[in-house]
Amino acid sequence: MREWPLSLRLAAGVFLAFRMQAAVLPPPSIDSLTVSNAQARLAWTPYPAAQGYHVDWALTPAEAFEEDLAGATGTAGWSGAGPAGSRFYRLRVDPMGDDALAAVNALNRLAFGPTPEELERVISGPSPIGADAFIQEQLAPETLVESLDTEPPQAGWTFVTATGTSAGTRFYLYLNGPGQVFVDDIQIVKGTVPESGPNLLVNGDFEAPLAPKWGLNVNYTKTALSTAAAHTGASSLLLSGVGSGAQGNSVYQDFTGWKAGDIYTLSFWYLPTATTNNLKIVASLSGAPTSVTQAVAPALSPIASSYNTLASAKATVATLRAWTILHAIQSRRQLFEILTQFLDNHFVTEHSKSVDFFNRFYTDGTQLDQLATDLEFREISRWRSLLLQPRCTFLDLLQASAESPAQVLYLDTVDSRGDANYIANENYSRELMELYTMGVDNGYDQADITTMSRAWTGWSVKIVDPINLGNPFASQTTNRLNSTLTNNASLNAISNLSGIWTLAFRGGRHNYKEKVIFPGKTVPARFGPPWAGRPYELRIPARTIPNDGMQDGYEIVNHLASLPFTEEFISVKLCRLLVHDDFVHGVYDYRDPNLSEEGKLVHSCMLAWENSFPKGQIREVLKVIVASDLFRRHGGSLQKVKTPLEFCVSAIRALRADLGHGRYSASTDGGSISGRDRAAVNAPMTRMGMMRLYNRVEPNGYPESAPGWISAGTLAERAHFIQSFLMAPSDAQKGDGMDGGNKNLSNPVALLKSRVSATLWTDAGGVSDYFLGILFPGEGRGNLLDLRGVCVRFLNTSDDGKSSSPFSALGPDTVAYDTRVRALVSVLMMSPRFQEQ
Amino acid sequence: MSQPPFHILTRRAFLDSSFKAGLGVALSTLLDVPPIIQRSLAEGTIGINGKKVIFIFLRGANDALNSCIPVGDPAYFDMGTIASPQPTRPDIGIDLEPGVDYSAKGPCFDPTAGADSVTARATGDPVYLYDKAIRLGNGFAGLHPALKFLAPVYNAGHLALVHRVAYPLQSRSHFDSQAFWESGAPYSNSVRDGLFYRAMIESGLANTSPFTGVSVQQTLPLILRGSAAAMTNITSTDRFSLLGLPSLTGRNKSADYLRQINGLATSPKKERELLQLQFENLSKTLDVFDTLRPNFSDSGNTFRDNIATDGDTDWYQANGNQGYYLFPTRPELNGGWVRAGSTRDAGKFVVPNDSTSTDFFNNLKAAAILLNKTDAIVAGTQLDGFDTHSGQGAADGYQASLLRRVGWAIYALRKYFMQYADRATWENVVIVTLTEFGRTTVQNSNGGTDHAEAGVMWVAGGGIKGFNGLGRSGVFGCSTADPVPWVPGPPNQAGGVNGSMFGVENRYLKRAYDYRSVLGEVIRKHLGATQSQLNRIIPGYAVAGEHLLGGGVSSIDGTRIIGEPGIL
Repeated sequence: MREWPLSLRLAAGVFLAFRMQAAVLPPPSIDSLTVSNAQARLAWTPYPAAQGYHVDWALTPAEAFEEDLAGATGTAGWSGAGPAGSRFYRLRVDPMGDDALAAVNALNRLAFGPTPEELERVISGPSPIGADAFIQEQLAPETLVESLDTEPPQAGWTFVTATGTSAGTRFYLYLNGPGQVFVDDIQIVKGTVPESGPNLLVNGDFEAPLAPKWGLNVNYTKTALSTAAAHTGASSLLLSGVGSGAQGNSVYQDFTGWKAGDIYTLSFWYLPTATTNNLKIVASLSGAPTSVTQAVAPALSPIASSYNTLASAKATVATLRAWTILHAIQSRRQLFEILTQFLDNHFVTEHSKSVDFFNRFYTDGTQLDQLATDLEFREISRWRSLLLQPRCTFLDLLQASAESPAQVLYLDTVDSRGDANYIANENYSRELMELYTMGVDNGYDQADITTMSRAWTGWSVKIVDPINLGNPFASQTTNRLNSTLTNNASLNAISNLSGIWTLAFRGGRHNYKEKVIFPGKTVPARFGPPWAGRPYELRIPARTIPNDGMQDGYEIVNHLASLPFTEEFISVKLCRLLVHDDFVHGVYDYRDPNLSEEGKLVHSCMLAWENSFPKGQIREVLKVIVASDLFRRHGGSLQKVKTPLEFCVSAIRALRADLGHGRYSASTDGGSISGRDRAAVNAPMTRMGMMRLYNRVEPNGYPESAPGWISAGTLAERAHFIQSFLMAPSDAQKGDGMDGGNKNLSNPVALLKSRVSATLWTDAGGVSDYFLGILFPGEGRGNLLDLRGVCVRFLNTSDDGKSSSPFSALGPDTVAYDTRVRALVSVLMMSPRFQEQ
Repeated sequence: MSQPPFHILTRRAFLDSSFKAGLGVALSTLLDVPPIIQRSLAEGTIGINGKKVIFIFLRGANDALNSCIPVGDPAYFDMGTIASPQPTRPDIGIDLEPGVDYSAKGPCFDPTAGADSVTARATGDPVYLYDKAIRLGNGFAGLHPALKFLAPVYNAGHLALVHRVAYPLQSRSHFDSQAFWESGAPYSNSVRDGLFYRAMIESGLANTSPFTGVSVQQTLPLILRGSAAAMTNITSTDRFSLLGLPSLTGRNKSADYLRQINGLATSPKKERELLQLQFENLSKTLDVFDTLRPNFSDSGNTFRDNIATDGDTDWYQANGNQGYYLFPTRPELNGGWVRAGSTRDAGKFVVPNDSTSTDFFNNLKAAAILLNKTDAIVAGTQLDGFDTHSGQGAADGYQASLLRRVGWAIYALRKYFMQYADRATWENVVIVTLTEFGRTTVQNSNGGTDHAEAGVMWVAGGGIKGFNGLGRSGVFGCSTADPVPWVPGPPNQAGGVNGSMFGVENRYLKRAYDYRSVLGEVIRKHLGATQSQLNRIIPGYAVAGEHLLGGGVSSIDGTRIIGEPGIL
């Protein structure tokens, strides 16, 4: 416990303040004291990350203070018995430990928010690794083993489970077509935790003859016990169907102790056989409120199968988006995923713009989508491989962007000409300086844009043989998809070529004259040493050899990447990403000894950039940021609002723990967040402010700061997302207009029961504490006291919000209990706190 | 412990430096007093005079020279000499109608008035496919043919076209320039909130009425952002609700607890006040939205034109004199779409048939209805995609497809407020378009145009001083007779004279109006701000050297401007 000599207040209202040593944060202070009807009330502004508040009193400041233990302490105030005479009060705060605070900040900034397991691994578990170990691993993603894209198909026995109510006593098991599957250890238990509690089925382990408990309908009469395989014991059920099944045509049993409204969890294990091609197992309870359809032996995990289509250039942008979401949720390399999105959003490209270009040659909508998606995927793949290099520089990343065909298309360089009297397109040159490197109004002017635009003329794209991928001077491929076409136009059409689209230099369109960019300009004085006064004119010579014209672009990229303006702007953007939004470029005077903390941090980043060799290593800049007080302590903690991507991904992560058998307490298919088609009209991320990954229209990228995302309309959409995510699958509104249904699934009760002892399951305070702890770990328990009170009241109120309904009276295996907990978590995740990170 | 009703606002008012600069300590006390007293303390008549504004931001920078076309300036067509011609816009220029005298004065040629009534052009294609510059009738300017539906609005005297609009030291960055237009204070570090937001604060109603400034689009635009009160942005009227958990029965409980949690104290956080305000706004507006919601239903979109739109007389009469739909939120409502079979003609769709149109008109309809059914004073939306660096097109093509939506939007809003007026009549409504800058006079190598300087604004309303046949043309800033005349011709003429289209850096259209003068005139004369309120809403008005009111030479960059155009 840290104790400050804090502000005091006399009962009569005289304010005394003791001077403090300079600190990151001023000490907590009492804002007001009122005494009426023998009740004293203190009020204060909640202190960042306060774990607890204590009120001490003394009759005179000289006496020893004594803690008041009788009054009621909340987040922002205390009330207790009023003093008979004059009295001094003092406020004390239990601060969050430095390491815990830094760790929470790291989980909010270097990751898409904490998961229950990450909180345990890093901070709260039996042997937490602590902030620095977590930061180190995130800074060096290549040291983290991650195989999401190549996960092998599941082998051996697979576990399947479903939770819900039942309309009657019967359990059904069948297949969607003819075939055979081994099934073993079928259980139905009360509550939401599979295989926990008495099995309501008899002979679910198939160690005894099927008769008399198991019944077999007509398509399943060949079903029998088998000793060829067993998950446990000596035998299993060889489920054998001759046609497709249904509840009335299945293997079935009436289970015991059924009650309407109770929640049951069914589970079983299966093992494929040679005849299980495209087969699905269905297990359900009466009336099918609880039902699971399991594809037998999926060949690959959803991520791995998405990756395979991406790698073979056959993926649509919806697949790329879902793949991105799933990586963001599941990858151990969290910062790596964040930086991928940062780069894609910094060096913006737009899927639709590529589609428009390809539409000149192709007509099939799916093909257009795939071609454009491939450009996006190749672009991020290049950044991803660079980010795995410990000494990756900004120049590497910038050059990858400049060479990306998607970029050449996006800002209209593709058709720009500087030969003859043509006026070159200025779009790329402007945004290259304004948005990708130097920052607006920071060291360049219109003349520089105009001159530079001539240098980029000739940069274009072409379809070439795969072996020429990345060779800008290669000829167009001559391989035809169909060489037997009799119509010459069709035969020679680009759409009839087999190859890959890549960067190409069309020398005939280039402007070969000398170009002087930033003529006579020098770095302004505000930069201070070592930069101030440096001339930064770039003189590009006239070229005589056609292909040499392409060198213009490389000289520009080289030059821009090491300008102090660029060092400043990129450092500012990284600080905004990782600390808070209030960093600016073009303003700080780095010579000023009274420069703000923010300005000083940017300066340190620039020095790290300047002094690394090779220059501009991104990791060196990141190290400066994560070592700063602004990052590690209160300056940035919870000071940012989540973007729609961060909000959705962090929501899934916040409730996602491994419950064993490959089950998680929260999951998504990705598409339920980012959409299932190109337009993604009904996707939550689209509705929260048109965030469609890989398709930002404006070149400034999606906003990092709150005002761009937060309005009544978008908050309503965030609420919709959370509520539908927390709804039980059986809730009629679960889909919330989402095409193809809502596959954002959560089971907060299963999470709770896996983490908290059974004695607390019906304790409103205990349940509130658990969820407050995992949802808001950076707040400090003291700052959650008032909210905890609201949570307890919520749990003890019926769903209509009016009548009292004691939580302790709800059976922990009932639907009412499950709904109450889901509703509490949904309200917490809709509220302002969960918007912050 | 009970908290004063405006505790959040009081604190915020102190933090809001830009606002403090304008109002001093007065505001912080003002926000602590009950609503009725608060209103009586406010000056002016914003919000109580019944006047309303709809804004449409054309994002990406609309090419002004192909919108309101200076057909009287030969350099629009060719900037070279007779000996060595140099077409200014060889691929994207708008052609003139042969045989038509564009220097004639009078009403605008109206291609929507029906084929037989038209005398301003030679015979040929059906008039509804008109593809030449529309003669405006001020002797100098023309309209892009895709804007044909502006013709009847113009001829009714309800439209002002204000050309050559920009601001000193024009930024050619989209993001800077959009921010400057919306904040109303170019290059100001102290003004970070929006100009319509400040107008709503000046109304004194921003914290008492659930709707004062409203936008219907993806995000709350800067023009409505500020920290002392929340303006409302609605992304979808259909979905503006809570689901509840369990759905429906749990809705009230969710809303109630969300409100409670939003009121809890927290440690200081940079974005918390924004969040708290917007959550508060969500709660307040959801309360009234349940009764409003039926107005927005798509099946309730029965608003139709009351004449034979676009001269489509045969269809009009055959269908019980029912006109086209004003807000084409579905293809079936899109003008000539309703003409079945062989008489259906894409040229008779009032707007291009795509999701850009349906999304935009959904938003525009909601904005219009909010203005008409609630106390909202300002409502708006945006249309994206004007950044035509390549493939801009000419009479037909990409920019034309955008302009068709703009033209129809203004036409339709006029009809809506004339025929379906409830709380907003056409006399009390002003429509204004904004766009961050104009585009280069000369086309680039991609059949497009790059970022430049002055642009054009459209202002429409029943009270607008537009064309009247008695000397008022409704065209401002596109004539050699303007107080700051349009100078025809190419750059580098004799005596060092540049034509207006080459007036900045020999490349860009030079401004004659400041956009703040246009918006300022609307805010003072229409919305009812006092001059001292306007000085706070648009700080440039308080700077004598800016000459935003009466015109003069800008002390910032030495450009002569006209001041307020006199559109109201």
